Amino acid sequence: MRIIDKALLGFIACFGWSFSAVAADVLTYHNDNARTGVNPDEISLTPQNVRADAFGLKFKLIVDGQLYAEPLYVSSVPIFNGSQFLGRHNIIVVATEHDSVYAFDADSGKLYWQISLIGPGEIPSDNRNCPSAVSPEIGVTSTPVIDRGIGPYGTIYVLAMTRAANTLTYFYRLHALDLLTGKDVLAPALIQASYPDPGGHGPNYDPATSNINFDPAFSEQRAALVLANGLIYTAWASFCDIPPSSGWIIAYDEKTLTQTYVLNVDPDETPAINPPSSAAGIWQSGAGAAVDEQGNLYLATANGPFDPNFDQGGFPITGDYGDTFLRLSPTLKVTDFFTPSDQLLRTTDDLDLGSGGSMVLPDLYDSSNQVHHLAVTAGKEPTMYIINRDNLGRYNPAGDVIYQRIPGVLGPFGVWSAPAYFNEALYFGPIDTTMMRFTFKYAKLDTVPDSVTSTIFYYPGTNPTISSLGNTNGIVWAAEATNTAQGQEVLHAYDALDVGTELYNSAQSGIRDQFGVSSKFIVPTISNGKVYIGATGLPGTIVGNNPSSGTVGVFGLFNPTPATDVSSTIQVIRGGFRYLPTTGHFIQLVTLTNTGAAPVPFPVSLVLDNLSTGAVLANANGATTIVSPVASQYVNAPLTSSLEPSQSVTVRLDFIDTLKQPILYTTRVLAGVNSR
Amino acid sequence: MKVCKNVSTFYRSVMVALALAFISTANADDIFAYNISLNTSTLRAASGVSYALDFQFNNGDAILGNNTVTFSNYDLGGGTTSAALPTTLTDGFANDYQDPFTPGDHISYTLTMTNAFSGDPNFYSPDEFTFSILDGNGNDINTTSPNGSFITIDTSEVGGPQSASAYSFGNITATIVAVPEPSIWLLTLLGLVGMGILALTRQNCASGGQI
Repeated sequence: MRIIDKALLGFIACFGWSFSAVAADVLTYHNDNARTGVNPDEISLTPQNVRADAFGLKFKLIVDGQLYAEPLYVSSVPIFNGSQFLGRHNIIVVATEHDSVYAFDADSGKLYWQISLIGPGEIPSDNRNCPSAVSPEIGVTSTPVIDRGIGPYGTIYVLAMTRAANTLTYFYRLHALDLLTGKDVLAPALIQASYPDPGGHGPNYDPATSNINFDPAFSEQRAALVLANGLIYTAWASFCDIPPSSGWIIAYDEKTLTQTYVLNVDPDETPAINPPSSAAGIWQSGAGAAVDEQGNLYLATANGPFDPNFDQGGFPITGDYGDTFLRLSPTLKVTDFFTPSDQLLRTTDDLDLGSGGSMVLPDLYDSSNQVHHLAVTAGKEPTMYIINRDNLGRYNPAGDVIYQRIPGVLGPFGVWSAPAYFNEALYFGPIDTTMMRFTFKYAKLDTVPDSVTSTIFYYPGTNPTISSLGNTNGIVWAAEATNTAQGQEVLHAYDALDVGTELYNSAQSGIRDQFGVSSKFIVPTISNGKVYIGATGLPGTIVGNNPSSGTVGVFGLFNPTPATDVSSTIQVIRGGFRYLPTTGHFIQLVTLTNTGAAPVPFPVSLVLDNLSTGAVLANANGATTIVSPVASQYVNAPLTSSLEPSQSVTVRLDFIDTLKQPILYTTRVLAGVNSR
Repeated sequence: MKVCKNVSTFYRSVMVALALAFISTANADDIFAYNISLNTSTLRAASGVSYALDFQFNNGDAILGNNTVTFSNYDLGGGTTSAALPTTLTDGFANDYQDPFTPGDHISYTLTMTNAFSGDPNFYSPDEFTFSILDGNGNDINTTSPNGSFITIDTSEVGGPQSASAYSFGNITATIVAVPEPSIWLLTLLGLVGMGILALTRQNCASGGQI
């Protein structure tokens, strides 16, 4: 009888970053619900090999509309031709302003499916008299979100705008698409909503119900969809501040697409003091609301009225929250807020607090080892706000009372983008200035950047996105919209420890790496050794009779070095499965032992081949792309250095099993900082 | 002497048979038994908090239902459950038995578990028993185990010993002690009786006595 009472403190400690970081997939805007913008499990791309002679454009994906939504990456998807299983493949999901959604092979560019979300007798929306925003047509603007645990093989949630072909009637629909086919798995939810308007001032006020009603013709849905608490959250703003509009947040059950909760943060739709005003719209340059571990949502509103008359709970009596950073409960109740003391100026001068994305920061510790729960936000004014999530700060007209306020640091005009976080540093890409790296010391942010790029990012700035291997090999990726009407978009890569060191840009090699014309609010997606970045199509490119095409540039290493297969020297002992009833996942512990005479180099990856088609790993660190068989997910062993002879290490596997069938697989072990 | 020699040979044969029987029980169809205990006084002190006991026996190999766990000797140390505690579980898909629980000072029970494994171990996994305590939201009280449980016992892929592990959460420490099955106790007892008779026989033969 073997009784093992394991001492696992070291084990748990080692699991720290691998547990919190799941990077085989990018299923939501900026990688995770905290919106850190980091893929911390990138093995292939390093500051050493991302250089113009080794790295560049591999191929382009051509699509039928402009791209504002971030491409999403889904690893190890089982592909079928009818009932014939064609193996697993990594796919990239792209949604366009022409109301199309595509699924491409992420490694070869092969198209698996394309689907149009345009209903019968409809066309994509026109630009709603707002040519400076999304134009000439509006379809899917927000980044979709994917849940691999819903539906037989996973579900894509995407919100599409259309209009009647012959009338100015507009529609928004929330779709739930089968990941394998793109087909609707539920009847799409037509977006409709109402909210109490006790004052009865709103243009869309209905005296029969004392509510205002959602008006799709004047509502723009730009902020990324959010999946949290089993719900899909949608957030709404205006078209060029054209009234009547207001800041709606509307939630739907992800399993049924039934509307569950509604909030309006300017319920009388008052366009502030001097129109035009966005009436507290929520757009955040495309960023999704940030979500903490308890399922609370954090977001910032654009300019609009704010009511400084508070009820007994200290909340605005009218429910007007213009230029305010909000904490919302999962049921969309405002549970706390921070409104800058210059709110009135922001409203009248169109200085949206909510022009940028917000982020929930990881726990940070001060010199007394006290933990701080923080968030960061910034808008159309060069002030950065670090906010205590346990006490946001409310409204103090005499001056802001918040955790840390850093004025004047974000260029001349603030941000139209979302920050990124890596290794206790924040990265901001304001407009008309450089991208900046700020570092935390004992939970306080340095008030001056410790490095800046040599590149000036003109309107709309840039959304820094980061790849790394744990705390090493950090690379900051950024899209540059060149300041000409038909200028080529440029992909930049910088050393994350010093953004003054540029590693690569796509303009270094002439036309070799050109991938499309500049677009706005672009967020690069990095996974498994490749970078996917959207752009407007090249002039003259016509796709599907639509002259306004889009492209996704796919970048990678030209000759990646394969990782070493060490399976012959690693003994693999499987444990059984434990079911987690709250998530429906299965947990399995697998022990790897080095039976060879030599150390096995870090990182050590347990690869699952021939996995049952209904199963997928929820905690995969990556998926194979060059070491056959490809598109097999792997989990890295919780090590910080090589696996020594006779040393054992336990790997935790977290399975989604949508088909509820036995989980079968074979194993491989790959090692070393080379491509899998 | 001839009679003594024949008798001795007979009892030696019995002993060999008993030994073989004992050895055979260590193979795939063996039943292993464990005494499991946890000190839960810390949970008891947290009055007003609801918990649930979580017993799971999940399939991993090629055959559903080819293993069984049996429970006995429950002692909740003054604690209570709102439903009957399980007496037996057969391995199944997501086989999860939860029982709302008010903690006492401790929990202890005896668990016996069969040890069959079917299928190619290059594809299949062991069947696994786990015992956990859930909080009021149905989440694990996360232990030092990466799977969140206090007790994990896996069937063996190779017909050898099971893998049994115990974990802790703060001051709550689980212990697991292997105990022989009653059949093994009986075999041991029979062996001791046999050895006694054999010794007695030798003594009688050495003294020239007849039996």
